[in-house]
Amino acid sequence: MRVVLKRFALTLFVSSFAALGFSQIDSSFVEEEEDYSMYDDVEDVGEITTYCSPKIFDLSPNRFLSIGYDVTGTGTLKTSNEGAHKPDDNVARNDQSDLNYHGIRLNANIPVISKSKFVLQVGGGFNQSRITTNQLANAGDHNTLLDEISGGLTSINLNTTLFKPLGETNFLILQLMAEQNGNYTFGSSTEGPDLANTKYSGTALWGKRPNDRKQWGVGVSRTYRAGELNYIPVVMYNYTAANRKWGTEILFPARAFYRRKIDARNILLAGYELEGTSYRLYNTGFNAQNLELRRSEIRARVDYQKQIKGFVWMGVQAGVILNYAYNIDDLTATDNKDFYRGFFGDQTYTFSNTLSPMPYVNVSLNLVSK
Amino acid sequence: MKKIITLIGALALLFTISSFTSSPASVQDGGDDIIGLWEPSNGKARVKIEKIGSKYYGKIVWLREPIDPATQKPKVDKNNEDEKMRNVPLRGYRMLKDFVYDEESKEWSGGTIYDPESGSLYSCVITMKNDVLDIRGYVGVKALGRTDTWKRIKIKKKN
Repeated sequence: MRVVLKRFALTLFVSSFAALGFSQIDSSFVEEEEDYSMYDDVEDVGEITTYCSPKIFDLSPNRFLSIGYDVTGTGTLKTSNEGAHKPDDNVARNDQSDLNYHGIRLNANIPVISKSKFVLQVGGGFNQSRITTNQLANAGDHNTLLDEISGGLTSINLNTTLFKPLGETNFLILQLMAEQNGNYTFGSSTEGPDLANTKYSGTALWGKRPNDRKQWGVGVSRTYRAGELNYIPVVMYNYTAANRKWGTEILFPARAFYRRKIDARNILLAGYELEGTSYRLYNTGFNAQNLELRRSEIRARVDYQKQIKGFVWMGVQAGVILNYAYNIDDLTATDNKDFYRGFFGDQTYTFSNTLSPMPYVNVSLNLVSK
Repeated sequence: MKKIITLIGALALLFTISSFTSSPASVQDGGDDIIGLWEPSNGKARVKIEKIGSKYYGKIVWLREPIDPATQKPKVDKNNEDEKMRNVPLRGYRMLKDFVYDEESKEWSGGTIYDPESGSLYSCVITMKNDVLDIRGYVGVKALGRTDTWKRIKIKKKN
């Protein structure tokens, strides 16, 4: 009897520590014998509808919050005199300056609603381009223009993105953005920003996600990426190769990247992004008072993204900025309202300018979701 | 000596009993409703949720594509941040861990969900309605996350 009691006591002693161990499980793999084939044949109890996911395998991480800094090398700005010049005129430049930009970039993209059947993200951005220049002292209109932008160019935006799955493979994306862009700076006594000058853009895209490695779509966009109001078709093509080493992230013409996955925590992207918008020039020293700087640039770059810890990633971009547009329109003739020129319009610019290519680097710290 | 062993036995018995009776999610509350077999909305896996001690865990018991086409071997956790875990089979993997049921809010919280496709571990909260789970994985705060729905399934009875 005593032997039995002893064994019982020892068994309880051991089992109590086993129970303690189980309550603090840290092993992810369950090493127990189980006949997994019993789970092959099942029937539904609950009912759900299957929707396609907004992602595919191995896309670069989605940035919830991002803080970055942008620095360019020197480019040469050549300006025309104030007057009517056609965009394709080979106008005689009356002066030129070297300049470069630097500035902070803050972006947030919060999934307000994020369910299988509906994703709604709301975001905002603050992008600053502070300018450094070797402005010439005796250069008339050129000098006046440099005065306009020497305080820096600021862009603030609010945006929202809706992803709506239409069943298991089709989806719809709607994106809207309102921007306040100009040569204003906060805390200064200068004019601006003015809500009347808000720029609105948007994209509607219908797509298919045939499998976990591919999604594509077609749509239309109202955009300022080329510097001025435009309506263009857009094509999405995100792809990951079967070996999951490489892929593409394309939303043409806004951006197109080749993606190389070094490993799950290191990603390299190579390609370009078209960035641009229209900036209101407040407190202008020109005769015209309703000026808009149509700025657009193609950023050809290599982008290295690395996980630092958990969901904190860093990004380093290096490349060349090809300045596609740096012209100025006067909106006086259109009652201070923006107008559509498109690629083929013959409206003349008030200033036709060029800015030469410049190298650039951008570093950022990001809170992401993979 | 005999007395000491008997005393240890009695203490162990008391400890064992108390460790089960002090559970915040005892059988009487709704916490155990989550126990069973579930399928995520993408249908790629089946997960068995079980209770161990006072907490709830879910392990992958079935994969729609159990073989990795790259290696022609059973899929392993190759995206795991921890290099030592990358050879661990996905079938049998405990992807839901450490959930505690809160009777007041009717949710299972305090746990984590692991996404084998990205190798990411998210904080997670689970709610249930009509044999459907809303599983929200998030980064830091609940606002930064995504909710998936899982349906309850059961093993078909053999005739």
